[in-house]
Amino acid sequence: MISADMKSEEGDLDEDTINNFTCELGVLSQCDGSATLCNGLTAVLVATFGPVEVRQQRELVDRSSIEVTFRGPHGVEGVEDRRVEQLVRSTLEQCVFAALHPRTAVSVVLNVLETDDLLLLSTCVNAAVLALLDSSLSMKYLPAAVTCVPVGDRVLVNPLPSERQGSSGGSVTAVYDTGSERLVACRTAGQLSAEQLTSCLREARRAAALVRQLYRRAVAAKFSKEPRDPWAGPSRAEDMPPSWRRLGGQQTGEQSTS
Amino acid sequence: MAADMRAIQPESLYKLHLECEERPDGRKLDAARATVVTRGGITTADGSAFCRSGHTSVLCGIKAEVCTPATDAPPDRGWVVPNLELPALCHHRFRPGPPSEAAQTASAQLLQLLDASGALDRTQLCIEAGQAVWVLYCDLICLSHDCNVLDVALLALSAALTDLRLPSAEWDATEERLRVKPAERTPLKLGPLPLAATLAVFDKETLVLDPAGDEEMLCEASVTVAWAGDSMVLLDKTGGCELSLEAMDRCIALSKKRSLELKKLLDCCTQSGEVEKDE
Repeated sequence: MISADMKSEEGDLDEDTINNFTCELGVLSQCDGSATLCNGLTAVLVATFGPVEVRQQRELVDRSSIEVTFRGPHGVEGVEDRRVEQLVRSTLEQCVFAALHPRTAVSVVLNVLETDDLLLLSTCVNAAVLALLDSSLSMKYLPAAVTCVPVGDRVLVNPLPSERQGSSGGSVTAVYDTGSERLVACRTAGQLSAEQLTSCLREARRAAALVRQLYRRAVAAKFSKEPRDPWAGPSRAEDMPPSWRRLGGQQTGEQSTS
Repeated sequence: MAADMRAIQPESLYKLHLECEERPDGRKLDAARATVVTRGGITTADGSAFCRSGHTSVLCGIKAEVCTPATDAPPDRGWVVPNLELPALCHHRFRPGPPSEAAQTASAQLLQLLDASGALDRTQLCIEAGQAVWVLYCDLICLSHDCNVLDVALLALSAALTDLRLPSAEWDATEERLRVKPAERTPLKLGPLPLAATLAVFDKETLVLDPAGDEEMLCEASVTVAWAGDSMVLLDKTGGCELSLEAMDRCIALSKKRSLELKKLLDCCTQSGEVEKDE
């Protein structure tokens, strides 16, 4: 289990910025790649299969077809789910080396365990990237997503609901190519001024570099030979989302400090 | 020769156009197509509007129905259900059948835009708290798809909302029933309506406003920015090539200018009540 207990080189952004970014790779046995990612109060489980056989209507002759399926935490599927799928799919289409696997499909299935709606998009993108890392699919670059909320003069990155007091309701989810630091995808919610948007995008660019370091640690942990307790979540039980506590994480969470 | 090149190498032909800073339909890079808005075309609907921008046209009809308020929402709120349909007749790439992903995402985007802009306060749709509220079914049908459907659909929806006249309705508490007078109609009080502008990105830096024809297919990325008054209510860049933040700043500036043009068009249309053209 990887926890965000690291500092950035600049010193301004630290572990609190990414807010309990805990993840684990390889949690499911029957799929090519899988990952769980818990970010604040949002937890997403992703399974990926691929490259696999593709349906003829979706077949592309020169590259792999990326298919994303999103299942929300409750309720019937709706048009909002299609928007999440659209963002994740268009991000992955850019970063996956699809030309290596023509006439195949890469299927990514996102299951939301818990969400507070604000961090949902960024958690889904990051979890999908982690699952693809677990499946060892070739990628051109690693995208990293963060959600920024302007509160007064400051910009908060991946804030918890309690920290969002005083915001006007606007938020920006931005996905960056951490290598070139260019914007891959972006979606806003609520109302923002142009200045708020620009400062959010710049802050997100800095925070995306932190997320990339967390990816590295996640992959390093997957291959490390140290014994791992899969339920060793965040060191403080109250930082875990309720669904994880119900799964029995609370007892071990208080004991270990991974 | 241009027709042959367009069939075999459309990207190269388009890049030649961009070098001359003029697009295949003769527009400059930051010029939008001529837009026409007509309100009140459907007499059986409670509000309607037809919007055409170049060859893209969308018809919007709003019907108001009465419903009991949702149990998981405050009891004095009505609701709005926008639904954009991209039928097979609008473009050859759409087949008959269940709504395509493009139609579903566009419908979700229209609802998000209405919510984020705060244009319509849902408490206006309340007849009697807990008993009866209005539901506005906004049906948008794309009649012709030549790129950039979302902007045109949003303009049609905004215009139809200004055209909407709700019948007066009263809840009779003694008899516990609703009395509706269809002949007495009142318009809604609307806040700043959302208006969108889409830009296509070529070569990672060149921005082209209001894509048409092959541009949506050939572009490397597309950015949609929607404004309601002075606030940005949506910025959507889904995938495509990477953009620098400087290019994003230019997108924002161009879209703000376009949204002001659309606002002027909508205001003229609302005041005069006739067909309005923006050349």
